Amino acid sequence: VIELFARLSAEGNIESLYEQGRRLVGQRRWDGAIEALCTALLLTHSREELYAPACALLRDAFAGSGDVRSALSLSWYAPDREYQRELLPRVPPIDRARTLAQWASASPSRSSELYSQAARELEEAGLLARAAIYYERAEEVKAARALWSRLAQLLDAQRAEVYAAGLARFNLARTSGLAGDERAAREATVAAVHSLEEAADRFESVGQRERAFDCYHVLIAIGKLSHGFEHVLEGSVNAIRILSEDNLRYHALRLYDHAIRLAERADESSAAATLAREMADYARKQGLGRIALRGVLLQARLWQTVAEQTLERHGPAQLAENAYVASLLASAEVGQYATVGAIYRRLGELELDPARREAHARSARRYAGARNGTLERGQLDERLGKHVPPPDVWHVDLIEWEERGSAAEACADVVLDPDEESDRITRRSALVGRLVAIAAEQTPAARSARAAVVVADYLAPIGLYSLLAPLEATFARTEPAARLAAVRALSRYFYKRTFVTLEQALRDPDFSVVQEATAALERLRFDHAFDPLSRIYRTAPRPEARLAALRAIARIDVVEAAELLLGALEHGGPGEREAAVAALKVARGARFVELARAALPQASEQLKRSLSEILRSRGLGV
Amino acid sequence: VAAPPELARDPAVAGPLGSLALSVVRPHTPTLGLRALRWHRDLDRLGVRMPLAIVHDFGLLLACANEQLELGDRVDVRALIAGTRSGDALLAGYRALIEEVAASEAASKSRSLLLSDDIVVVLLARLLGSVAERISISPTYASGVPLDAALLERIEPQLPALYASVNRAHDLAALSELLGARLYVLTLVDALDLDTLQLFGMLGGDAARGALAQVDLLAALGAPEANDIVDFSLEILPSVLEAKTKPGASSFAAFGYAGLARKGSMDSLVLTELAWDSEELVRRMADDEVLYYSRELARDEARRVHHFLIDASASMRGQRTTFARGMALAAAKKLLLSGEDVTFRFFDSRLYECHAARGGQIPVAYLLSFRGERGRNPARVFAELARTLELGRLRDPRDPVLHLFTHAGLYIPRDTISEVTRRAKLSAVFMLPSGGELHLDYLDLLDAYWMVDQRVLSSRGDRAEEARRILDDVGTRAPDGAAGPSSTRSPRSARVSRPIEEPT
Repeated sequence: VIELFARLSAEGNIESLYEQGRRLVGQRRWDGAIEALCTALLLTHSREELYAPACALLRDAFAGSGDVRSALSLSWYAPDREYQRELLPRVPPIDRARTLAQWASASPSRSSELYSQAARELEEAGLLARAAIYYERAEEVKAARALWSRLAQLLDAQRAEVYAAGLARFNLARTSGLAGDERAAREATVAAVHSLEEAADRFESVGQRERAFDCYHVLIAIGKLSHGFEHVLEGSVNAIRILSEDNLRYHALRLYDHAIRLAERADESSAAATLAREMADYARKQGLGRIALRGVLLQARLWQTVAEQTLERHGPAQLAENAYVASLLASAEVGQYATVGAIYRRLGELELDPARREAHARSARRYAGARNGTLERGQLDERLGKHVPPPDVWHVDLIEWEERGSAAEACADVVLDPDEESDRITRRSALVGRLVAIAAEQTPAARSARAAVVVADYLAPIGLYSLLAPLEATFARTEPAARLAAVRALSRYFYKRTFVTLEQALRDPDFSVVQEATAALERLRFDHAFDPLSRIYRTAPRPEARLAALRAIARIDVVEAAELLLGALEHGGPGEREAAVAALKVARGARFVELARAALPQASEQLKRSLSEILRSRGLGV
Repeated sequence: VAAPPELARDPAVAGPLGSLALSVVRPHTPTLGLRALRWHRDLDRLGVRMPLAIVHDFGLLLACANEQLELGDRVDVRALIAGTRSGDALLAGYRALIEEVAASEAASKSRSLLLSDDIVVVLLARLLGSVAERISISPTYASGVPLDAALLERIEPQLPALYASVNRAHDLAALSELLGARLYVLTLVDALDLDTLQLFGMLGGDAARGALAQVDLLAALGAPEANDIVDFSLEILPSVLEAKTKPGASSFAAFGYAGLARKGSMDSLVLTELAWDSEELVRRMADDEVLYYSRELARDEARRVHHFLIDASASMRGQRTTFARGMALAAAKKLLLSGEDVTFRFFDSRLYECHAARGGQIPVAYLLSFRGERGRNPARVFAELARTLELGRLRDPRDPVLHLFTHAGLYIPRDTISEVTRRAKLSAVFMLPSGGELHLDYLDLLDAYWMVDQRVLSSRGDRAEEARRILDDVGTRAPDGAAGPSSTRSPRSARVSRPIEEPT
């Protein structure tokens, strides 16, 4: 079957392919029917009323040919419970469990029973993480807890799995808490924090900041669960740092906003105020004046809250004074001088030493009659949006770990994910990917490399984060053809994690893999790719890879990229200078232009020539 | 002529010097003007570009006593800016602003503090930094005035020519922005944190370390939480400053006589010993009964070194930082006054480099402004600490004592803590557990620990009292000898600010 998928192409008319398939199914000519209908399924842009029947017919064809797994997979697209029930005894436990889980999500009244049944199937198959999740959904906390405990012990023994161990411990802490065992929950929390801190540190030191981000996200969840605001702060501040270092400025600002709210809720106004100050500074640096203004006003309000809370608790007047002063400075920064005057009057009433009070009273008189600057509605931009936390990584990432790079399982996750139902094209592509992956699993070992290539080619256009793991597994194979296919596919996955594999590919013993990886670098240019691209530029062993990274960086419009390019123009070798000039001539970003103009007066003659050439070719004055 | 013709033709000299035509503060000696040149140069390095005249006027008001300067125009500047209405208004407004700054409490207080040039630069950066950012016109001249007082001596007659020799658009734009931000600048002047400067005076600042410390101090002045740290330190410092090195007695010829001893050299023999007959004297010498004058001990190197480990992770945000750093400052001062050696190390997911208090000088600005917040990895940090202590033992004969200031969520593996406590005494202060309780499995391995909770911090008297009590404990545990137990307490005697349940 894998050869069939290898030669298929998305050509033809779905209606005629369906007719052809129907005729062949009627004649029980399964191979022909499968070929026609699989071609139909490749037409992922087709209307649903044409696509769904083609799926159902292909399901029958696979069932007829004896490929029950593929048939069941197709039945997930448009579920038919009676049909699925017949197939269940003939498929592996994981597929049975997936089907039961699909039924459970469609039948709220029987949800617990079905999830429980699915969990038992998985437990028997040794798939502990997914089984524990299903037990949780079945509200069988004790069973879930036992499985998380087993998994945590298993993972603790593997030094390389410290992140997964942290997640398992966190799940154990959650379920222990739900089971009312506070002591066990505390111990599991401590162990989870140990592992996640270590994992985050390790990920950051090898440049995988996005994985460290996940660790910090779990730390926030741990803080919320254990009522330890220290962990919430740790997670939030570091997650914000990673987002801002990756130039994901709106995500960073939304998380700032969210963290401030969490701090307020935890009665940590002082921490909230410092976060608001940083938020304003960051927004200002990014040229987002309206959000900066909002941050400053928020800061002013929060410092006032700190002062008032201190006074309410009969705390030291000096603490309240400092908080009021911080508040009035923030207010003055945005021209709210009437507010400044009011705060000075309040300061004059505090139980401070008489000289301080008199000084404040004198200052208050200066602002008599001062007015607050007008803040127009448009200036207070509220469109920052809400922070959307990442999914429950303590489940998702453990499932990924358990699936061990199986394309069939990763595609099944997409097909059965209710969130993907709105994106039909992706779901259909994943369905085809699942069929190809099942075919690959059935291919004899001698031809498995060829099968892996076909699977990678089918996964390439999907581009979902959850499919990175199968492509990484393909890249880990010994056959150069498989590695080449993996890199080719990965060049369409716009994630920072993609670069982890690409960096390895740049050192591959097979030159064609290196060439493919080099070409991929120039395609993968997005703001938060700057960090891995700059690392490749600094460390790649081959000059062509460094130049490709430099060309990609030239298309990224962030300050750090502009600074790196300026450095390359000034201190790089002739090849680098040439590549940078050529790329910058056709780039569109404004940051480099600003930096170039600022650098021109002090630039060396050589740099002046390069900068003038770039600016002139873009039609800009020097 | 103050500026020789070859320099007067150089825009890098004429530009800054000529701007003094706009100045409205007249120093009585040219050396004060020289200080202004230094401030101007350092501000430039910090990225704050303002005309020399403004730097000169604000700086002198903050740094020099009243009798060293007077307010008033240096030259008839109206003629220079062609008497335009906006020019007149600018000059009048600027003069009024300078008068207001001169009359402010902050300026008069700062003048009494005899600030060093480095600190003046930091204050100027704080006051003028945001105005400088708003100036849209770039200066047409670079700044490169040689630091020579002769250039400023009787410069007034030369100012009109120097002023006219370069384009002054930037200077006038700076004045305009300054006046536009008049209330903001005055608010900044009023809010200048002179307590921080006072803390420098009391604890020994590190501004002399140059630009790096300037950046640290600038960050500290801009951070509202630094004010709290300073206030808290000042609150508890008076009791700390009572600590004094207690002299011991020795037989070395140093300092004065301290008392009588049975060992010593012939030159310190008590003369009445010679009244014994020779046989008795020999017996007394053989039996160590002869009395000598003993001398005050010339203190050898301290036998302990105290390492202050301060948590700089994001978990410390808010009041935890205030209390931790304030306590660390005060406790370190107390130990220094007792003749002990002190170092500071921050940590988050890394153990940062060690900063020693040298010659009794605490790196205050560094302590106030340090920002870590790059993750958290106590397992790694404390394992590294154990290794550092092990290596240190080979090089340094002094006994290490560790003082940890952290939060209640610092989960250090027990094994690692055991490694550390095998090599050094370790006490810890845990700040403000957000859940109100302390659940750490290594508490019994510590030599002492304290928990400071919200109740203590919020209450006016309790906070300082609690801090003083902890400091007293640190003080009594620190020096070997006269006062208190000579070594750290056993785990059973570990104290907390309020009863907490036993760790499970």
